[in-house]
Amino acid sequence: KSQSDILNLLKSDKNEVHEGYRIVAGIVLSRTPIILRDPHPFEREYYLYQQRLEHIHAPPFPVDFYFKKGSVAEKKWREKKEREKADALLAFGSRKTKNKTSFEKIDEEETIDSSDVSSDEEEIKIANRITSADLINDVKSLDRALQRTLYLIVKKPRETHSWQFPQGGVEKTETLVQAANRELEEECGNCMDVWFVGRRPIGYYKYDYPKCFVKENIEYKGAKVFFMAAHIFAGQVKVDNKEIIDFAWVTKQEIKNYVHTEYYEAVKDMLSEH
Amino acid sequence: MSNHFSYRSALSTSIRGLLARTVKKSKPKSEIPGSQNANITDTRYQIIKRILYETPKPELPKMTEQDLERHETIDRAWKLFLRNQQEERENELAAKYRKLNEANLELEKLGPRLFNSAQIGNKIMMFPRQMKIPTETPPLNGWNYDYKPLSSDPTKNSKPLPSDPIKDSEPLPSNPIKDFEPLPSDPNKVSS
Repeated sequence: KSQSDILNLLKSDKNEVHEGYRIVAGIVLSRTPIILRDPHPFEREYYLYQQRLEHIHAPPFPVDFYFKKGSVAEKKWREKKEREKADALLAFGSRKTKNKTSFEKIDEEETIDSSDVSSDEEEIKIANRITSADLINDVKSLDRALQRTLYLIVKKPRETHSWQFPQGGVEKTETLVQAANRELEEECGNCMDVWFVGRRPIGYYKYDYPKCFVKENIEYKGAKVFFMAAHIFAGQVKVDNKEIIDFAWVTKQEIKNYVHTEYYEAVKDMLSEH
Repeated sequence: MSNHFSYRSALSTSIRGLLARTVKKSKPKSEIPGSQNANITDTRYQIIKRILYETPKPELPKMTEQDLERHETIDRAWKLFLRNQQEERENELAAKYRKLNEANLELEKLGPRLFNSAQIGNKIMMFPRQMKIPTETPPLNGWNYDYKPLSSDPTKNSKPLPSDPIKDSEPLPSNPIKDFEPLPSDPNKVSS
C-alpha cells in the first residue's frame, strides 16, 4: 500500500496544479479553407452589372494591334464581338431576361467542371469544388467543406461530455505548447503535419469535475483548460481506442451537434465563421 | 558626349582598320527598331502612335433619370452589403481577441513559469511553407492522408533531415520543441 502511495506522490509531482484545479492544455486544430468562398448572389449580380457598364462605355478595342490582319484569330474575334453586340442591346436595361446573355453564359462555364480542349492545346484538368466527401457528408474526411474551416473534435470513452477538443495535463517541466504538442500526439497519433501558432493560449475554460470523478487517485476540484491554436497541413488522426474512440472534422456550426452546450458557449468565440 | 574613359589602344590604327573590315556587317539602320533612320512607313509604328496618343477618353455613362436613380440605389445597396460584411468580420475578430486576452490574464495568475514561457515570441516571425492561401479549385490529388513524420529525435537540436525536400527549406519546423529560444526561469534574472 505504501508503494502505491509513493507512486501517487510522484505522479502528483509531475502535473501542474493551481488551487486544486488541474492545468490542462487543449488543442484547437484547424484545417483552414482550401478554396475561395462561393460569391453571394448579390455579389454576382453586382459584378455582372458593373461588367456590363464597362463593356458599354469602354474605348474601342484596337483589333489591329492585337490581331494580325487576315489571321484566323482575328476572324474568331470578330465573330465573338458580333454575338456580344447583339446580346448587349437586349440585356442592358432589363435585368430579368429569359434568354441569358453571353456574359452570364461565360460565368456559368467557368463554374462547371469542364476542361478547355482545342486541337493543339493540352487538356487542363480542374478538380471539382464540391467533393465526394461533401455529398456523402463524411465527417472524418478532410476534403469536406473546402470553403470552410474544419476543427478537430475527439470522443472520449465516457457517457456524458464525451465530445471535446483534444486536451491533456501540463507537466511541471514543460510549457503550454510543449504539453499541447505531446498531448495531441498521444491522443491522435503522430501522422499529422501540425504547426502551432505561437506560444500564447487563445482561450480559457474552467470547469469542475463531477464529485465522483478522481484522476489517478489524486483529488482535483476540476480543470483549467488553456486552448492552443494549431493548423494541420497533411495526414490524418489515428484512433488508438485508449484515450479517444472517435473523431470528427467539423465546422463551427456543426460543433453544436456534438459538444455539450456549456462547452460550446465557452469555446465558440475562439472559432472562425468561415 | 565625351567618353567617360579614354585609353590608348594596344593596336595601331592600320591593324584596327583591318579588323573592322573583317567583322560582319550589322543590320541596316532602317531595320533597327527605335533608331532615328527607321522605316517610318512601317504600319506598326502608326498603330502604336494611334493607341498612345489618339485613343478617346472613356466618357461618363449617359443615364436617364430613371437609370441614375437605379444606379444610385444599387451603389448604396452594395456599400451597405460591404459594410455589413466588414462589421461581421470585425465582431468575429473582437470576440477572438477577448478570448485571447482572457486566457492570457488567467495564465498570468498561475505563476511566472507558464506565463513567461508563453509570452516570448521568435525574433523573426516565420510561417511554414505548407500554409497556403485558398485557390479557386482544390488540388487535383485532394488531401494528403499519407503523411509520415520525420524520424528525428526530439532531443536533438537539429534541422529537419535533408531527405524531405519541402521541409528542408521550411523556416519554422512544425515541432515547437526544436525552435525555442532559452526560457527565462526567473524574469528578473540578468542575462550574461
